[in-house]
Amino acid sequence: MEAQVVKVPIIQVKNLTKVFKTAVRKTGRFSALHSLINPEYIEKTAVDSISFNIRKGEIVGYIGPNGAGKSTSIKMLTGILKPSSGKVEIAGLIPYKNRRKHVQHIGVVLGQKTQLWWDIPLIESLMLLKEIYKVDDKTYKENMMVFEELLSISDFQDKPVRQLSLGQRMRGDLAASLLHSPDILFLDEPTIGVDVVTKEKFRVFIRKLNQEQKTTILLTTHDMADIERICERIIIIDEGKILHDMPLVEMKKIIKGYDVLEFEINNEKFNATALNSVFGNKLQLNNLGHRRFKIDFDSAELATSDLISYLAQNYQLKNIAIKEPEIETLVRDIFEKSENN
Amino acid sequence: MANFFYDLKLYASILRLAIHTRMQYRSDFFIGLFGVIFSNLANLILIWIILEKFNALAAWSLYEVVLLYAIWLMSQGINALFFWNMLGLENYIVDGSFDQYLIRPMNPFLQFIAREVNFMGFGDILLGVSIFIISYNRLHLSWSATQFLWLFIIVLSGTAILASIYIIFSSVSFWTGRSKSLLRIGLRFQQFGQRYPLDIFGQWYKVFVSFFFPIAFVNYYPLAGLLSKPNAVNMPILAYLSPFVAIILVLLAIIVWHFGINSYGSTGS
Repeated sequence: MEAQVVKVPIIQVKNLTKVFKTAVRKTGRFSALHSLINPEYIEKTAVDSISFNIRKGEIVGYIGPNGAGKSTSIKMLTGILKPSSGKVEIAGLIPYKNRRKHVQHIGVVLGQKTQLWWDIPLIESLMLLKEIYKVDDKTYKENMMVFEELLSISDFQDKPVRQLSLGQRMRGDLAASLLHSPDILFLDEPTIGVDVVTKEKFRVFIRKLNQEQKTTILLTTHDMADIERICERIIIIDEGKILHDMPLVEMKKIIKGYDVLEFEINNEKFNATALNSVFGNKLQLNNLGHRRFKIDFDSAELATSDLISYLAQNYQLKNIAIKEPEIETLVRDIFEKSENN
Repeated sequence: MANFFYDLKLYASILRLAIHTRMQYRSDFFIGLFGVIFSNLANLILIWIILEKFNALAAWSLYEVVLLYAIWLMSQGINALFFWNMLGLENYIVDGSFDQYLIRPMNPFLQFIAREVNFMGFGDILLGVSIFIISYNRLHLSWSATQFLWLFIIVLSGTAILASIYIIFSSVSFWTGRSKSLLRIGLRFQQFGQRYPLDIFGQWYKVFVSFFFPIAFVNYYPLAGLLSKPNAVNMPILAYLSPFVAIILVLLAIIVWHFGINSYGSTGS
């Protein structure tokens, strides 16, 4: 066998499990006292024995429906939560045990809430973080230049964080999480509620960061476009278990049409055979009843405009809408399709 | 340890920023100050009315009782100034925003309490010092420098005792998610009890606030010592124990906080 330099993955997760114990609230008279003296608990397994490795420089999309266990996993990886069992090792450290050392090398953006000081201007927050992470002046200046170039933070850096728009706040949070040039970046729903232009800025920024600084990135999102544009590898989780772990190209093979077109016609009849003869197997037609139809297709294979103009030419359209694909549907589809294989 | 000292430096930086921010709301500051002083004056008037009727409470004269109030007010003021955010810990835990303190390389406790400086504490301290001076003169006291140094230590010990109680009570929410009602009962109890000399209460209460919920060490025991009065349980030694009680409670608070953070569940989603 050839001698090889075996690189240890930067993130190693083995049989990681988190069980939450929640107290059941009792009802009736003296319920609070009753719960205090004789509490009853129910156990919920949020993350159920997951295992994966991530190499340095990978960008991984961590996706799944709401409540699948994504955030809980991320919180264990960042050291916020202590696992119930199993192992997580990141750059040789066990996050919750070596919390202080660990967080020095990671950046975290939790999209639902900001980690910046609410009343304080963004720039002051960043200066405080510089002190907390012991970032030297040179690195600080260089990073601030990058943030300026790609996130235009000087537009709003003097405003208190509470006055920022959602998109500005996300850019601020992103800058704050990267000020100390972390090796690993955890992004939990960073684009939630953010406008399209900012989303695009974010994607460009993340790709560039990964290419130039070899930052390892783990991203959870509900936005399919985030995944398509940023990720190389997808881990799909549902009900606390990993369903799939594969390269993005692989996923695209399994899931062909995740663009959705819904329309309603005035005509008496819809000619499905005619449609299929024109577009062949590039789409899948579903009759929703009451002259409403749904077409699943892949816009990379079949231009949306072609489809629309065909429909417009042949039918009287009462209604037409292009729908964003939903992660929930996607996960279900992947699950069903891999079951059938 | 080196980490801890660096964290103290960071704590000072965050505090500076918090003060700076607060200064932007000047009218809010003065209205609040007025409110705090006014509500404390109302308490003092109540004490005055009671003593007007009875002349003395178990051998404590009016100005001695006011002195008792003054010492508590100073400790309470410092506590409010620096540890106020503790009272809101429950909210941070319930909505998961406590997460943010665990993902930065700085002591979570210091990060958390640096979040807010409650300037209303100044009102307490200001009033506490004022009524202390008045009572001191009315009672014709003449303490030595050592006795004033001791007073200073007492006030700091009192601050530590009150802060530890806040921390321990609030930390309950790391396990239960809720602690406000418990905290409120504790605060009410503490604020009520510390206005009057312990002598006037029943035996069970004396034991309770001396050994289980030791708020009597904030003002009552040390002041009884300073005024050379016999204390309610006839144990002169208790007059000197405030710093020790403070140290024990601080250690207990550190332990409870530490275990609390380890069982912090964050929010499920």
